[in-house]
Amino acid sequence: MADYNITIINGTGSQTMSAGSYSVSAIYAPGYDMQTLSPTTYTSTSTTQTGAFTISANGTLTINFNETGAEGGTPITSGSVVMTDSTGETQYGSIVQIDSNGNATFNNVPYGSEQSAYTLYFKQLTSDENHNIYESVFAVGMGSQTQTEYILNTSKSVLQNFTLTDANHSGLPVYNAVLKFESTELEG
Amino acid sequence: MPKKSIVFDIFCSKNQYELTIIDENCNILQKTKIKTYHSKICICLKGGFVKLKAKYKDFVYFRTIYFDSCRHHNIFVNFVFNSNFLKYLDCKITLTDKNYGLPIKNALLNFKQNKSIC
Repeated sequence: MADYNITIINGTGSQTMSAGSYSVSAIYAPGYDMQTLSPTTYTSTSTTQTGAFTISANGTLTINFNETGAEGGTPITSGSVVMTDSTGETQYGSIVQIDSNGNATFNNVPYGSEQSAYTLYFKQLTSDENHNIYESVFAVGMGSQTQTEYILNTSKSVLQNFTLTDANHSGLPVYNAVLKFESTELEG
Repeated sequence: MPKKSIVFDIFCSKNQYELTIIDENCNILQKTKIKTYHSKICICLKGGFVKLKAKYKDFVYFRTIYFDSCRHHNIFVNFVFNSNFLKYLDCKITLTDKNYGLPIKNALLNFKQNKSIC
């Protein structure tokens, strides 16, 4: 009986095989749980055919979007983000919503190790009304099963217009003045 | 049903076939090389079916012959080398992430044959 090892690179592989039914197993798939390969059988019957298989991972990635791009920054309160290829052109899976704590959670992602991380790419699609999105595609190196990353969303600057007039002579514009606006929000 | 000799009259367009006669349980009953345009192969069988596997270079051709040994004495088989011959099959395999549809960067899959089509 025939026995083939088929190498998969970037999702595809090929092999000339004798007709028949086969048991299929994954013997190498870094970042993924090899026991989740599906299906586990394959029948070769037609002249040229394609066998489609899937495999699953069990890592969890949390991406926190905030005003500093680091732990502890003021988070945004809504938005959306999606997994993509390195160019950002191809989206993978569903769009994930950012919650009121600035967190987007991606379950079942592949991961490697600290020495050999599994690189994933993401693109932020929207932020809340007071913040700007992170414009570029960003990469995350998954080096452990559970991981948190921080992404910067700057506050939006909105043009404000002010008038200063004489309190005792209605409508008389004040010729020359400087007003100071200090934030009353607590830092950190 | 009693066993009986069945005679296969094999006619081939080329005289370089390797012919295998296989029963329904994929047991090889006879294997021979066809050296001439026409060959006779006599084999003891009870009724049922056999599979003929003709191999010419890299091409393999399968044919199932049903017969009733009470009525059949000779079975004529004509192999013609044409596009109906099956190659060893070209199979393309795709492997994607079940949850995201992400193409898997690097993996190795093993395919172990359970049963051939003989």
